[in-house]
Amino acid sequence: MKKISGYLFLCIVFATKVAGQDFISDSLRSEYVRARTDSAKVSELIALSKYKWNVQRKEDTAITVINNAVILARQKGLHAQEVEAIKLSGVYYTSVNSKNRNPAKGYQLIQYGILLARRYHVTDQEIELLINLSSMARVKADSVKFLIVQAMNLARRYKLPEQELMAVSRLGSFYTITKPDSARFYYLQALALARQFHLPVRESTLLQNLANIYSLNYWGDSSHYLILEALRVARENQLIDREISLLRNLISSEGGFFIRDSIVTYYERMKWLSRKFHRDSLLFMSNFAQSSADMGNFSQALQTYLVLLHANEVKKDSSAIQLALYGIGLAYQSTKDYHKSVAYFSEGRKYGLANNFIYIFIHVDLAKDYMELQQNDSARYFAHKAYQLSVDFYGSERDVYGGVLNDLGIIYFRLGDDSLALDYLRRSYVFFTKNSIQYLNYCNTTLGLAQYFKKAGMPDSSFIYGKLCLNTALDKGFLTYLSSSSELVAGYFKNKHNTDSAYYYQQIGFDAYKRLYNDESSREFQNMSFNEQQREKDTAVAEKAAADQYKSNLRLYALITVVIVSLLIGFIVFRNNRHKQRSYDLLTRQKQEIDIQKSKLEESLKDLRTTQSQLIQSEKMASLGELTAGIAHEIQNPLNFVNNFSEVNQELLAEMNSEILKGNYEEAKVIAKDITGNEQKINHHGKRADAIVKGMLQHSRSSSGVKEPTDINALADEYLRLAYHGLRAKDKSFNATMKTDFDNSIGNINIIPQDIGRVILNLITNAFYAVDEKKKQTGDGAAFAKASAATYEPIVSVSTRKAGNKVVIKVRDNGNGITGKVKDKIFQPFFTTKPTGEGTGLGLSMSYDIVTKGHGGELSVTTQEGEYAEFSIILPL
Amino acid sequence: MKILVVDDEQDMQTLFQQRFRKEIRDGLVDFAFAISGEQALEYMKENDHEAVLILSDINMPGMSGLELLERIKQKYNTPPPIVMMITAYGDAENYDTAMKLGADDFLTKPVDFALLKEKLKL
Repeated sequence: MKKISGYLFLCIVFATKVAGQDFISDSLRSEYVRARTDSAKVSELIALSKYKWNVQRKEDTAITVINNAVILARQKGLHAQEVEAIKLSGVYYTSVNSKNRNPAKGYQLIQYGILLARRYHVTDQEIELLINLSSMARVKADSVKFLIVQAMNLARRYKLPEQELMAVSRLGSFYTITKPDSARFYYLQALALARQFHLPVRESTLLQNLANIYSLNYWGDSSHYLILEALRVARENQLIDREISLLRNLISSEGGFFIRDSIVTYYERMKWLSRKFHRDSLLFMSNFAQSSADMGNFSQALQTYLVLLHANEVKKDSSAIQLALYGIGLAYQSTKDYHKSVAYFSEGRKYGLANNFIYIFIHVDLAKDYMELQQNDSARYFAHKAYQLSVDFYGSERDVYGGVLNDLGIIYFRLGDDSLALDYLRRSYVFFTKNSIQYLNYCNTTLGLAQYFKKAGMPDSSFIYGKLCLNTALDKGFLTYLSSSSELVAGYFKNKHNTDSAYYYQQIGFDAYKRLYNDESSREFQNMSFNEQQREKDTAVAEKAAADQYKSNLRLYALITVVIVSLLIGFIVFRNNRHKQRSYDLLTRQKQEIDIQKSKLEESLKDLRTTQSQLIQSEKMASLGELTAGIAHEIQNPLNFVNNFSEVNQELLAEMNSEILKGNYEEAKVIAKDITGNEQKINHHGKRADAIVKGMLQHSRSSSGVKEPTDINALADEYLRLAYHGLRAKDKSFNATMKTDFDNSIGNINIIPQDIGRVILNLITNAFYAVDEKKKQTGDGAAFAKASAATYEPIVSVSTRKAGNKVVIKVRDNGNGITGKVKDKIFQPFFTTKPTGEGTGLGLSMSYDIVTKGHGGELSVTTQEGEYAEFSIILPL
Repeated sequence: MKILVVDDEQDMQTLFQQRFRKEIRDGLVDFAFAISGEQALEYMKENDHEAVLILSDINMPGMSGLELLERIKQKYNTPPPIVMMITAYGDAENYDTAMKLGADDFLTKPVDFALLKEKLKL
């Protein structure tokens, strides 16, 4: 009843408001009024400010609200919430794209927040504040890492899993560029935590981060696979904003995994989601427009920008209008219509500092346009202005954004100001290799340098940078850069009289150029007819916008009328109608989507197959890599002893000799005993090293991929012993009883021995791990040991049985079993219950694939918590 | 000088006793051994005034060497014992963490005893 009367109240008072999103925030405000306790009031304010900031992007309101929250919390002595509110305000002020950007103030706030958090022992906020601090630009790299490690240790000490996750993934983001392997490791740790504590939002974000790393390092299509996984998690848990963020990545050419062919589908889905859930769609429209332009689809880019412009004019959002005008100017610039481009840029300029970043680039691109129009004085004027603005905005010459430096460098290069050009280009290159890799900018900057060095008569340098640009452009499908860079590279080879290479690269460039521009005459025609079409589309868009406006107005009035006439019944009836209408609309839309998806699915299936084999390979590599790292450490210890004891023995032998010469035979005998003891140790450790290496070699034996008749009993037995000794080498305290029960009537079966062997090894290793865990638990804490603790006997058994036309291999352990929730997830990739750093989480998932897809069999598990777990491999004969 | 060696490998004890037998015989140095971080802390509790130098491995089951390092540096600081890490993990991660936590030196396995003796000025 409360909610409905709340709605009634709002309907009446805010009858002139159109968008649904205001209903939600206003109902939040009414909740605030009704909240009984002060603490709840503060919480509501905090939640409201987050909503304003993240979803509605009303930054000023968010800041006002959060300041109110701080004041209220302080008044009422609500320390934890005060700290949380201060943290948020600090984050807002340091947000890079914000109009209210004030990094100094943000920094102060965060520091103050940490002080308070320590004073009031609000550890979870302290940890988050430390993490926020580590992200601030003014903090040096060493301090960054120190802060994060500090945060992580705090989280572990106080057992705060979500904060630990945040710290670990911050560590991952810290290493993303410099040490991708470490970054991957940390993200996987964080992912394990996210799954363990059922945090799907974090899980989806982490999968996205991992995908980013994989794509940055060109590790095959694993990134695509991970993004799809992240999308699946987001959809399963109905995380709208997460899904939108992922889709945005997928349609943005700056993202690491931009997929050209699917961007229209994803874009449509984003539009639908944002309409349905009242999210701001205009943001990603500009991503889509930008990507279209980068792919050479200028008409699509222009269309989208025009829609954006119109929508923002309605909203009177000058920052977004400026952005749209800039985008249109860029599109015209790309089609070499410089006069139109200047017109739109100049229009955008009128909006001043509405959007700092864009304002700077408007000046840069005006300079570019004037340069093309050969009005060099104007070009220089705007270039200079752009640089001044950047220095003002970024605070110092050193911090000027690389993109600006790069574009200005190229302009000065074309104007003939060589030394200035080189200075800017170099600074830009440094910026983009030190900071984050942004593909477009990277292409831009390497191309600029290549052109510079060509003119400066340094062809080898030119070639290096040209090739760098080309590789990235080829990989990401940036046609403009592909065309320019391949021309450069072809020219280099021509001068070296390497005609084959020259021709090859020339072809690449030619194809790219053709795709971009078709041929001259048809392009001009396209432009002309395009303008006509644009005019028509503009009016159509305007009409559609008006129609939408009218429809939503109509809906509102109907709601009010019905509610007034008969409160409860009218409301339900209206809702039913709307629901039906919506369902119908939804159905037709879904049918369209399904048709599109079907053709995409066939493509995806092909991609997935390749990804699967790549993943298997990378798991092998990963497990081999981890094994090698672990092995290397393992071998260091025995090696240490072998070397040192043998050195000692050499000294002892010398001593023994001198004692013999002196005639002290007793002394000599004592020394001889020591020597013998040492030799035994040398032998023991040498054998240990040998066993470790053998174990490693077994694991790395590559699969032939061909099925051959194999004695499954012998295979199981071999791998059982292998696993056992491998574990013993790692952990000398490890002990377990092994039981085998082999059916000798099986004979040979057709399998790929290394693959099934790997599966058995994986299951047995897991089994040993489980019983070891249980043993440690029951053995720990003598004071609390149960009566049965001393008599717990860890047992792992492997059995084979022939059943009709199938062979069943079972691996059973009497460990702690598997809980219900976990059981559903164990075959998922990257899922592991092992503590951080101890497992890749890919073992069971790979095993599952080997058994089911590789051999047409089944892999299943039965378990009882606290008692046992039994894995069954069923293979057809 | 009193040296506490912390390593989960039992043979380290024999190795040290053999390698330093001259110095032990001449009374220059006296060794104590612990096979885990926990045992090391126990020892420190009883004899904290004595152990001047601690040589610790990093990769041990239970309490890791780095955790031990942290605890020692926090608890015993009048004067703080010298703690050197001896470990197979020679990577920059471990080095940085050890240094941040206040380790006085960092050696990798296989141990070069000549170098160690030099560092200890024996």
